[in-house]
Amino acid sequence: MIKAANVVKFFDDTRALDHFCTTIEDGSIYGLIGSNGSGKSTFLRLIAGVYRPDEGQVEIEDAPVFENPLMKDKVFFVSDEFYYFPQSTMDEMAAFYAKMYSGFSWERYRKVGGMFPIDPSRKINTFSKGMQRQTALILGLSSQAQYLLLDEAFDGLDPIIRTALRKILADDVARRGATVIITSHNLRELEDMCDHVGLMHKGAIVFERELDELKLGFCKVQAAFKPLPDMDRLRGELEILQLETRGSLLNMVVRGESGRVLEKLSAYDPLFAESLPLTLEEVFINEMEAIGYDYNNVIF
Amino acid sequence: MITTTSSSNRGKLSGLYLSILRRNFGVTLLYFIFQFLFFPLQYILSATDALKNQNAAGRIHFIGMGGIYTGISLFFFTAMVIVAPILFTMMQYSFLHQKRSTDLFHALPIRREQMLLVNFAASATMILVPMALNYAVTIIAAASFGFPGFSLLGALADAFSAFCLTLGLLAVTTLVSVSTGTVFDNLVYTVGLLFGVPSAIFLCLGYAANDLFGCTLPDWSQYLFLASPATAPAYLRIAAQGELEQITSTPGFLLGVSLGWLALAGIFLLVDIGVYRRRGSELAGKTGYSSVLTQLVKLTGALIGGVCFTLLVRSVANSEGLLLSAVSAAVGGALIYCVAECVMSRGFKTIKTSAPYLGAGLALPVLFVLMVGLGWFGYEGRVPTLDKIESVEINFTDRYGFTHYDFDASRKSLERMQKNGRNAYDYYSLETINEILLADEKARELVHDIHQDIVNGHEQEEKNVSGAYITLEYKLKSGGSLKRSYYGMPLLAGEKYNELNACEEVKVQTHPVYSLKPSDVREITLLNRLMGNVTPVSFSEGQIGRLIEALREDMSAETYEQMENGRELGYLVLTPKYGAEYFSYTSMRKPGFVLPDESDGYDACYVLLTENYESTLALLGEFGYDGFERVDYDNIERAYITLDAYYNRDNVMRIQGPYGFDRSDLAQNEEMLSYNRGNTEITDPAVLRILAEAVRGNAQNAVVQVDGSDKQPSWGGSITLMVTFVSKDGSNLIHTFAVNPKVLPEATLLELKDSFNRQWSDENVEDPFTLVLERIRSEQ
Repeated sequence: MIKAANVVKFFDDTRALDHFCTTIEDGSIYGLIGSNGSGKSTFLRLIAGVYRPDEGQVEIEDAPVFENPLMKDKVFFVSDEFYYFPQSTMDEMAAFYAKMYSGFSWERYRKVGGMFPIDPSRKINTFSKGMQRQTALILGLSSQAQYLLLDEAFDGLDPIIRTALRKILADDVARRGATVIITSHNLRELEDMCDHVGLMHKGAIVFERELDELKLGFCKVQAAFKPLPDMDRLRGELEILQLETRGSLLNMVVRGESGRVLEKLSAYDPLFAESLPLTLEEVFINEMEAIGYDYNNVIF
Repeated sequence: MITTTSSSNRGKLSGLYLSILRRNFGVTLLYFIFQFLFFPLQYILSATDALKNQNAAGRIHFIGMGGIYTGISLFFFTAMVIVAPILFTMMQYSFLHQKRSTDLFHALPIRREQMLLVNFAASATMILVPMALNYAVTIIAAASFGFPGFSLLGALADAFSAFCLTLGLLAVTTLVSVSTGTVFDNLVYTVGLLFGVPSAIFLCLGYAANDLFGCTLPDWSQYLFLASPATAPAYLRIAAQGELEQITSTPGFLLGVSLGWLALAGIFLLVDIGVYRRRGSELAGKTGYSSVLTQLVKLTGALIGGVCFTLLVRSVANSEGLLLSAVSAAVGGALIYCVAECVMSRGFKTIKTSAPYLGAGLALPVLFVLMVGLGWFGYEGRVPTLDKIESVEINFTDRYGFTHYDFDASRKSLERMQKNGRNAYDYYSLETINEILLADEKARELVHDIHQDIVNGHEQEEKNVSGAYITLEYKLKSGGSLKRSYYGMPLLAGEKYNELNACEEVKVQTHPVYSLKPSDVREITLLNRLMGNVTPVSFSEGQIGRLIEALREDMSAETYEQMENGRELGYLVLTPKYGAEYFSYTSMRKPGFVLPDESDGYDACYVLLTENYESTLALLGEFGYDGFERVDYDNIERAYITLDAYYNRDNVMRIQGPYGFDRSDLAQNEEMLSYNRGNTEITDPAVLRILAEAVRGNAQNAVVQVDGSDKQPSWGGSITLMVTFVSKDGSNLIHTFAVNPKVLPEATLLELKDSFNRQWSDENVEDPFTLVLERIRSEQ
């Protein structure tokens, strides 16, 4: 379990983290979103033991992580800016990490590496940026760290690789109980990966929730009526968060489970009514509006 | 089933260490090759070449304590020993100066101190292993060739010092690396700390020595080079080949410095760890990071800038005014601090926030310049009272016109220089000044009076009438010491200065006749007072012994009055044998000094005989050498007269060498004279006769020759004429003597005046002959 308690981190006069508190349970894939400068990377570096908190404490398994090799051995940090030794190959980097991380597995390295179109004996500086990102992920996954910190590591990856990675991560979580934290400033990058999400703004978590719980709490419904039903009555029966009317077609985001909402709508004799998939962004917009934030001001 | 790699803590550290070595193998190999090319290979090539060429084999001398360097290898190897640790350390810790690499290294499950120690160990390995290999190759080669001068112990001591200083350099450079945010800052602050701080200290010492009246660089100042691990190798290897070698080439000294830096390396390493542990990773890539170290370097830069700018402005303005100096120091200091701040911050934004430091950068050089300008808390006027003085050591320009050389301390240096194919002249010209120890109460009082007069003259802004030189160092009863050095002095001090020649302790410690053994005399020559009528003398050893005894007796009995006014007869020159134990300093303090073969021309024992040398003259008469003093005035064809300005005397003295006259050294040809500015040719036989009768010999102190006038020429020289005679007999032996201008006829003085004005018309120099003529007329 990762626990941040009242963490404050300054960069000169800038307060990057402002009494930041969160708890990330083991065995989860935690998506951390926020705009640039919201403090996501700083938080990851604090978990990785790269930064020392100015106030508060970042703990893994109830132990401080900074200057704690035992804990740091369980954490692998894939930075948003990759660094490889000059002129090195992926094999050489793997050899280095194998010496550094007690959990590093060559077997897994070969297995995961085989899933990506990367030549491990080629110099990394000849790779494209996307390939370098894949290299970092392969090395991170091979470390078999209990806590894998991925700082915008999925940004820009093609769908096939993303799918492959999603499977590997899910497998790690399921098999080893690993905890993965992925940051992104783009919700769409995370919605098919995470089971938990947190939203950071100005150095603090403004919102965090289990994704399933989030999605179950809302549904998007499309229905056609002729004539349109009495809207006041409809609002009385359903907690409508968004409503859009186009002729006889209604698009609604409604709080509640979709089956129950559709059942209630059937009482109004719709021409048709169906539940539509809700994007994570839509869920966020509605949740944040519910707690008084203007989502657009936070994210964009 | 997935297997994992076991990775213990020790395994991690060794893995990191080996990983660093593996990644840097190429550059390490390159370093080895460079060192090989410029160190062992140079030795092997020189040695092989010497073996091929018999002549070269006899002359070849390898240098350094172990005799394993050639000139080229000494320079380049030393340069590599200094530069490589700086570059390697900067390279090694560059991960701290990039955000990306910091993320990688600081996320590793390794503690900071372990990280630093592993990197330090890897850097040391990368530098010391190639160095050790190259030392080994060179030592084996040197042992195989067997050239003289090779010393295994010396070579090992040399290698040990290189290792220790390298570790020191690594530790200091590491401190800068862990204190800075970027590679550029690291480079600037490393160079600033390693070279800037010693430079600033030396600049300030030099400035103070130049500006403070009587100040001379303290003896310990040379050791400041050892305070920086970047300058110490150069000092120990290169500078020490010259005049300092006698001190630094002793194994004890080298071992002491080496062990000192080894200990300092350990201390610095602990500081490095402390600083690194506190270092925030977010410092990576950050410019303008302010720490004690960075401020130290900036303030050092401001001090250097302020002092240098002061020197520049003073030079341009031709003024040493206190206000001008202070303003220049403020401008220079502030300017350099601002430039440093802007460069290190990559902009002007931090100028405002660094105002307090800017103030310090401005104040530091100003305070320094002001303190020096105001006499450094009474330094200039400090003269201890007589009752506090235990003894005093002096050096001065004696009646023969020479300062005295520290033969004792520099004996080893001479030997080494001779090994390197340099001659005795190089040795003499490089040597430091020896002290003449005065314990006699009257002598001490005389020195004290001279010192007090010089100080009073300075405080009352009296003009110096002479370019005379004196260094004095009091040993105080309290155990302390006080050392001063003066060039030039006022009239009152100058007259007392001449009296120093009459002190028995001075005579005994400065004149070689007091140490010369009869068995060491190779040749004796008698000359008249114009260096003519050369009479070779053939004496038995017993006669020589008696002659030396008589000379000592007469010399000791000679009073100051006799020195000043005694009628000069001629010169007695005793030339010692090669290999003789000779110089008084050496034979008294360090028996075993051997006069080197190359010393010919610098080795004669020269005595000016006056009518007061009664015992000597009686003995010469007994041996049948009457009449050597006869002067053939008709043989003088012409004379050249010039002023005894400082430049002229200096020229004359320079060719004479220390303490010993030789005809070949003194002789100048006419061609040389024609280039000597200020000469006036005299051909009138009557004037020539007057000149020949009036001239005073070289042994007569010509330093403070004044005509008694209060008014002195603006250029500060004494009004003494230097006369050079040219003989008719074609011998072309031309010698320079001093003469008081008042003996000359007015017509000759007028001629000299016209000649002087013609030749110095392009410069604003006051005509001294008008002064002389006025003086003569007033006396009439």
